[in-house]
Amino acid sequence: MSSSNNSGKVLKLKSKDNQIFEVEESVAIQSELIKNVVEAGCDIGVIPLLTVHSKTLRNVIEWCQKHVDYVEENDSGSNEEEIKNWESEICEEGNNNGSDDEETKNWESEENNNGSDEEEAKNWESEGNNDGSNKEEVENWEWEENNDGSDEEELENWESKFVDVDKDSLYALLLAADYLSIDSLLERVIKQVADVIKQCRSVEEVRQTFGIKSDFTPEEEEEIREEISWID
Amino acid sequence: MEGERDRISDLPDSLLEHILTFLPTKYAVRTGVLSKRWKDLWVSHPYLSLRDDEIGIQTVKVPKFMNFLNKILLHPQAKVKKIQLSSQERLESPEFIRWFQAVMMKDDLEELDIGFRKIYHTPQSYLTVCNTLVILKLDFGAFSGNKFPKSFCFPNLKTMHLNGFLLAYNFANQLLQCQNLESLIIRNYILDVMSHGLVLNDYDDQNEVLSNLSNAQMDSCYGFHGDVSDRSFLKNMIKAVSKAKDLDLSLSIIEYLYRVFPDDMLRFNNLKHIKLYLQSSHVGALGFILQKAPNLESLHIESDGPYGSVHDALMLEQLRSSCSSANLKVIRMTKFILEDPVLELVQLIFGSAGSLEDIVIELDAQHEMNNFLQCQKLLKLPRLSEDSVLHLKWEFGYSHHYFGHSHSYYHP
Repeated sequence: MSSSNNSGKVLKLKSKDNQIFEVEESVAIQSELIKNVVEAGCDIGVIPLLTVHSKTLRNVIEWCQKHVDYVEENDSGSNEEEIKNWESEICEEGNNNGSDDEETKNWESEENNNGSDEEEAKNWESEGNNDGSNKEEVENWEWEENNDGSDEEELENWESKFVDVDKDSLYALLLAADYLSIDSLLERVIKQVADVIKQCRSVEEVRQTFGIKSDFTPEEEEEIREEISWID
Repeated sequence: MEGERDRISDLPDSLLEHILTFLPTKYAVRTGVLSKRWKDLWVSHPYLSLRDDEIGIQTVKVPKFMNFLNKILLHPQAKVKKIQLSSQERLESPEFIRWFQAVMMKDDLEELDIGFRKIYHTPQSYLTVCNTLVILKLDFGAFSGNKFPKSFCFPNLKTMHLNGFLLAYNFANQLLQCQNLESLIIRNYILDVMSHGLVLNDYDDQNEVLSNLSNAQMDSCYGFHGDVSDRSFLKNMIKAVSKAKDLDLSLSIIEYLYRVFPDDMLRFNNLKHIKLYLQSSHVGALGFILQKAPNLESLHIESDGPYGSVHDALMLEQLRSSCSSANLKVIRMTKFILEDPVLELVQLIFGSAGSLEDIVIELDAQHEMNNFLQCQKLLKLPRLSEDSVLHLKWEFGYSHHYFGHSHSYYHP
């Protein structure tokens, strides 16, 4: 299960269906529940998770492992490298200002050499219309900006794939994340369910998607719909 | 037909409520129709946020909307923390006023952001206290004259934006009780002449200033008569906001300060950025501000109408002197038309502001005076600060069906 070379303790977690999972402490304590048990100090041996099935527990452990790995990757030297790159970029920009000065001088001498103002006006106006290159510059700059967030993006993509499962699995994950108190997993699964609801274009569609049966009488339902009829 | 089994309704209340918090209000409220299980789960949603196109409150639907609002306020499971309601419609219901006055004092409320085109006139409320409120934004229409409470206390308030209210003369004094205020915007307001009796004279309390204020914007005071109470109001307000780093003050306020209290010891020591509206006859006010704000770095001047023709020579000299001793780094000029008096102003600034780094001038390309010749004159003006960079931008507004096309021409 674990790939890191962490020399931490290994905990034993027992699922509802009596399967034992060996998990590194650093991974397991992503769960507040387990963290509290560990911090309470007693030497338990096996921690029983009475409401979590092995299938779900396996997935939960995968989630926790991924998040521990992500934090480790981003703590190591990669930040230093980023700073060095950024610093050299700044120095380059400084040098570019020098060439602007030259440009000014050229422009100023040009000005004195040209004949009529009209000609200048034409040149000036046509230069003005060359906004293609400026736009490109802006686009390049924006792309560079976004590239720095690629690690975060990668995690987001991984998370989205992780929660792209059938509803029953989602509910199982939801209940497990709630029981084990794993905030990151809980938030992500909840968001997923909410997104599914949001995509439904009507109350009827929500009912069909989730299998919810209305137990209102027609009059009751009509009353409730009337109450919220001011919503556009 | 075999459909989905409804397993979602088996989840505990807390998880369902949590799911609903991820839904925009409109969707969350609708879940009440799903089944009895879901009927009032949405009531515990901490954020009530409904924008223009989500509220359809034509007259016939107002009572239902009010029932909804009351539920948010009074239902046992309700624990709303942030309320954002905005609509271009009018909401002229006395019930709304009662709701509104109650909600401004609600325990645990952190944000109240409400805007309607018009509401029923508010009767004066005397005391409004809320210890938890952090953001208060109210807009019921410019100059609508809705009365803001005569006494209020929001000790944790950080943001107050008011548009269109009738303010009592002691507004500044009350405001000083909100010492955590960081952002203040007061627009389109009128002074309540009936509140004369509440005027407090200038006083030397330590508490005259909002010490945490970061930015403030104040329009001119509509219906200002210049009598003792009016002057007191203005002076107290200016003093209260004098520690801000960023001010956006209407011209008439600055003018007034300049003419009526020129020797006042008032200083804007934290002020780093100010936006002013300027005309040729008011350059004295500009010089005045530069003197009062020794740490000013960024100045944004905007033309608020015809600039005017002739500068007062004495005021120009004073401005030149103020500019020389100021530490202005950035100047931005917007909505000006490059007539000769404007060029004269720019020439003066360029020639005396020695620390300038960035100058940005935005012109309306459609105007005939913003033509090549005038621009050339502008670009050729000598600058005392040789390292300064001048950016000249033209706004091409096409018809109002297209977005304005803004083109930057960088000119070192």
